[in-house]
Amino acid sequence: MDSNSLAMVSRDLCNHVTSKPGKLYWLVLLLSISLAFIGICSIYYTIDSGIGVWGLNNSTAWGVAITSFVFWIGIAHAGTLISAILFLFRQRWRSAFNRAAEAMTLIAISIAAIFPIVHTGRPWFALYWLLPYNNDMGMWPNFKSPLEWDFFAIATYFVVSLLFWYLGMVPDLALLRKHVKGKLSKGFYTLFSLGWTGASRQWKHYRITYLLLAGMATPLVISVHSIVSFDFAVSIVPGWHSTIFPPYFVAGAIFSGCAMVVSLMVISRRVLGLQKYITPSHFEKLNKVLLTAGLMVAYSFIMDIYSAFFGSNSHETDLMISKISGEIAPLFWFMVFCTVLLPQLLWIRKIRMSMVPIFIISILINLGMWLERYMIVVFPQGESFPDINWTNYIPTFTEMSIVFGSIGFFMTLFLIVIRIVPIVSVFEHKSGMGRR
Amino acid sequence: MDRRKFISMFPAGAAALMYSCKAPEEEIVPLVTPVEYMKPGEAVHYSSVYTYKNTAYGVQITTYDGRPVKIDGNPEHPINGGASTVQMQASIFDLYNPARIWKPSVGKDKLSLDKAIDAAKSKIEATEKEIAVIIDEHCSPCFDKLINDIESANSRVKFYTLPPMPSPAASVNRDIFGLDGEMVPDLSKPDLIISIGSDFLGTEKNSLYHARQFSSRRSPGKDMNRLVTVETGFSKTGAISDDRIALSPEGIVEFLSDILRRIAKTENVEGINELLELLPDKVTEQSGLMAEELISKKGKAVLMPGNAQPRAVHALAALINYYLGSIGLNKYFSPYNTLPFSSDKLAGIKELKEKLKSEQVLFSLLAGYDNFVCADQELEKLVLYYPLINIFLSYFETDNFNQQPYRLPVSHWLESWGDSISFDGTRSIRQPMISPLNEDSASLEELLMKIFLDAEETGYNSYYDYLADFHSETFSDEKKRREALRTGILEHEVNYPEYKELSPDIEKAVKIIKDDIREIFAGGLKFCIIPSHSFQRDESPSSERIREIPDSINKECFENAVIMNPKTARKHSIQKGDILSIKTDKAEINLPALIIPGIADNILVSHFGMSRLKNRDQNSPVRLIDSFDDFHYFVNIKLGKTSQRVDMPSSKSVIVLDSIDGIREFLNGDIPEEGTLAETNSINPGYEYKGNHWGMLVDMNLCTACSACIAACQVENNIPTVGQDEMKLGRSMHWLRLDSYFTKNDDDQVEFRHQLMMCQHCDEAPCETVCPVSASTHSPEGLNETTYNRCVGTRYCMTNCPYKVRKFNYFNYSEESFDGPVELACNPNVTVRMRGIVEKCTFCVQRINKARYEAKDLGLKTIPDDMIKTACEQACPTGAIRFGDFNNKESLLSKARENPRAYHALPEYNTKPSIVYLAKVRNKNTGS
Repeated sequence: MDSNSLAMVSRDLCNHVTSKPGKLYWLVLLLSISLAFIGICSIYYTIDSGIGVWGLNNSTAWGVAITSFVFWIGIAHAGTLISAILFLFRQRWRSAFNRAAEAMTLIAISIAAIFPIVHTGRPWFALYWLLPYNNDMGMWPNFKSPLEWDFFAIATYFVVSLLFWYLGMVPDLALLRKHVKGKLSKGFYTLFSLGWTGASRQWKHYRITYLLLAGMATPLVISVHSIVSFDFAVSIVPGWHSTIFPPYFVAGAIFSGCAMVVSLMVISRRVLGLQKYITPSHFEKLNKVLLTAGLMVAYSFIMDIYSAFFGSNSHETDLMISKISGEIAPLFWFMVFCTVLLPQLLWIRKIRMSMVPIFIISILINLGMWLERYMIVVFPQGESFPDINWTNYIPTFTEMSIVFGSIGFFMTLFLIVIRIVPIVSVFEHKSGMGRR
Repeated sequence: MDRRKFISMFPAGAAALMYSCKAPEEEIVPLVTPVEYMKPGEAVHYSSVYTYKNTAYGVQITTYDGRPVKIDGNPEHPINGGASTVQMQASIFDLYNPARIWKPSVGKDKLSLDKAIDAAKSKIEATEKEIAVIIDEHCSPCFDKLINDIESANSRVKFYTLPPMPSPAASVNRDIFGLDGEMVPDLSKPDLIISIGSDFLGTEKNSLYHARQFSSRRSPGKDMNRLVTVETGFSKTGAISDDRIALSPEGIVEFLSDILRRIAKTENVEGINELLELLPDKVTEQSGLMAEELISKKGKAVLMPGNAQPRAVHALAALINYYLGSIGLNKYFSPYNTLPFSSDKLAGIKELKEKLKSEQVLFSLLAGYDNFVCADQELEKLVLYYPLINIFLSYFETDNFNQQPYRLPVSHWLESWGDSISFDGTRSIRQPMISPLNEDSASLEELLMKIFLDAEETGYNSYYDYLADFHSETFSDEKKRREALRTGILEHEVNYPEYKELSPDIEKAVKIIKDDIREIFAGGLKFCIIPSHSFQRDESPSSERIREIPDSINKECFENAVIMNPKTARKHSIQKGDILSIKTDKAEINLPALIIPGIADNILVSHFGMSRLKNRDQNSPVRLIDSFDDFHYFVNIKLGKTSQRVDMPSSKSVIVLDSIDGIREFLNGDIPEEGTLAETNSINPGYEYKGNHWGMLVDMNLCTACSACIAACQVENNIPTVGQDEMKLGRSMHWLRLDSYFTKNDDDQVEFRHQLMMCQHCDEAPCETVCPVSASTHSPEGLNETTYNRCVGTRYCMTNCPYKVRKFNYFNYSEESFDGPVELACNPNVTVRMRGIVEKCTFCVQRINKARYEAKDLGLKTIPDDMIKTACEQACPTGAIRFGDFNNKESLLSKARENPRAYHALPEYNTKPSIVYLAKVRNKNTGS
């Protein structure tokens, strides 16, 4: 491989960082920021007036905020899966997606963290009272509470993902140090490339560290969403209290995370002109992972229904009957269509390789997965225990606008990230080419 | 007024200030030197009396630093014996209500009280015509004397008693037995009680007395009494009765006719053939069985006709009672137990009507009315819209009477002197707890006295002087006076008149029934009006607190509705929440529909007294009633639908279940020997309680679903109200709630089950483990504690609570609810919770802690459980709620664990609750 083509790879892949973005970029950014702004206004309104502006009531105390929290944590899963697990399995095709997936992970965790905090009654205390620190009251958080476990699991995952992402970026940042023009940006990349020279001794240490981090990150893929599922599985609410939840949640998380990667990369590839580097055959492999995760999710659904009828808890049986045939049934069957039936199209290689169908499928999968979380989180609260309640939970505009605002946040942050770092790992790509 | 000014204004407590417009203020207990028994921050209790129409309940008022904060029943009073009603509990909020009238008004001018009285006086003196003073029923002998004095001093003044929905009981008793008054039966004696549309455990007069007497015979076994309710609507009494028969007004007459006929036959009653011929001769299985049972229980059964029943029903019930031997001296209905001043009011009302029509009256003083509503629209219009000058002596600001030129503020009953007499002759004294918050107000009695009597002539400067003179025997003797003020009860000898044998006048009965029956059987769709659960002064609930407590049966609150059963709704294709148009020839009202099972077929029912509106409620069901001359609180209507809809309490508010395992129930004589409350196993070692282990016993067999506990809890624990919109969203803050279930959906004959639900203080509490900040913890005495300061509001505890008893402050409810002077009604021992915090029943931990200090002072290591009464327990008229200590093996609570009726709510979750329920027992007729 001649050095020219390597230089060309560097130039192509760094292009979206070094050159000025086009009109399309600004337009999308504006839209994203607007959407995020609506979300911010709603958050302000919520904190200012009280959670009462949401549709929650005394029996349904967790609404779409917690649904979205679980959803975004799920999205955050694909990053580590693609970068750590596939790295350990020496899946080279991962290099087309890993940087973007990891960025997505970090952004999704940050967004997920907003929800439980805004959702609390007194967010100004919730911000730090969950932290275990030696305060003057001598009060420690309750280590028995799954919410506390959540806090640790997510914080750990965020820190490890950040380190992993950053470490994987260091050679590319050093490369950008050369390519950028402005004094400020040059200083920025110089600082963050940590004096990377590309010496073989550095490469040797680098590879060992990366491998070790990948090994450390791998269990987190399993643990984080398992622990999030404990919020529900450890409780006694029928419909929540279920031993199948940890694997079920992990499978769901990988499923929706991979679908999100597909959606994002189909667009990024087109907008950033990276067709040469992210090819249909890359997608083809990612779609196989998606299909596998989808089958695991489908299995979980079946098991969920099975255990509701097999178990002796009549509340749970009633709940399941009401879920599949009651008022909420249309939503349930739409969810089954999106998450179980539709992904079966991915058995066909042609569909796996064509961009438009997989884009649509991936979007619908995530819509279905959001609904699935909604049904898990919200539905059992109102229906499970015999109770005199006044009304059903109906989300208000305020809380739904925070949910949509979170998509705006996500897009905004992603668009900012692609202006700072190359979205495809340049050095991995080069080394991959070199080894072919 | 801020707190400091407020407290400095009056010498705290004992008897407050004597208030007079003219005379200088006279202090009963001047605070020149501190009062020995008053310690800052410590509660002082005083006795007084609360009256509702001609019912008097003794009360005990808790004051802190001279500020009344809670009203409870006086345990020494023979009528209510420490129990209270929702209305009594909530009355404290009227005292501090900012909507009180603060300034007298004459036309648009605001004047001082003296000037307003002078203005009214000069206006009255200028006319030659009659002055009608319209008052509601009362039970004050001193006020009665005042009325006589005023009438004899001023021949142009005439008093008319006008209850908004008068009962025909007195007139029927007068016609048939020559006894003009309402008799009050002693329900602890009969074995069989049949309520004919009477909600004697809920909305009727003396309900607390009835509840206490009735429940004293409810322990399962041979001696248990039996209650059968025959009714059109769905009352609390009906809900808890052993058998309930839903019948239309016609059906009730047929039912009673058949019973009377059968009794006449078996008892060989003579001389009533003329009457029997008049009666409908429809025979049903139900009436046959009932008659058989009544005959077998002759002398041990009693029929209770309801106040809203027509004269024919009262007459038939009176005759049946008579032939069963239930009326007479020392029988269930004794002429010596007659409600005070309960003679028939209709003659007076008719006279007033005539005078108003012929314009003989120029002035009317509406004394004690805020919102003049009555079930006689003709009269209401004559009083309000006739070119008549109204002088309102009222408590709340209402702006519906634009033409009335005078409005004089009446002080709260906690601010004035007065007295009362009960049906059994008990005389009670009402003493002021606080100097009037409104300087320009005076009690009703005092206002009338000032308007109509000349102080120089009579020598009475205030109503207190008048009262002291009336009860001079007690008030002249300082020792006696002090004792009377301490107990709230005046020592008094009851002199019964000589007893004359009662015998029914059949001719009169024939006349009553003949007149009545034709109208009752006039066909068409019937619309019945029954008093609402929040019925209070002025026939409207005065405070938000009452309006927010949902009806025990159908869960409606704030809004009135038209209630019907599902069958009727299907027939007219009505959905819940549809606004219906209900028309008679003269009036039309629009009310939303509410569908619950258990209402008689093809009948619409609506409540009177649900609205507390500043403006005249055009949709009050009484608008349909033209005149109450014949005591018919039902009308034939035309039913239509409007295109509008409103949200009514939704499907989940009334749960219809095919089988309810959660709420247990037994039949009398069918109770198993062995209890099921066994110790459950757990892998957790569990807590060990060395000192006290608190718990509560809730006997659902005694619970009458009266909701007084809910109100008492709300007042004791500073629980805010949330308002109508928030209630619709399902965000009530009540720490206690009544879960109600129907066992069948479709039929008009259903069974109702209810359960009082509050925090169960579980030993294995699901809420405790999940709180991330340890705000929900377990106390060493078994309480499930919530640390408000630590709560961040994740609401995890709420979702994980199987009983759904944890309530969340979605907004800053307290700020609105205790705004302005209302904050003075707060219990100083309980934190007011801010926005974003979860709260729930604490077992009145402030009362436990108070007892802890007291026990420590006595040198006791553990707290004896009889030192503590929770607010709900204190209010309960039947003793259904008992707080206690599981570690005290002698306590009722510990013993209840062995009771075969004992059960825990939702035992399948193994939460080990500290609340032990005792299942309800229904006493069905087994034929023996």
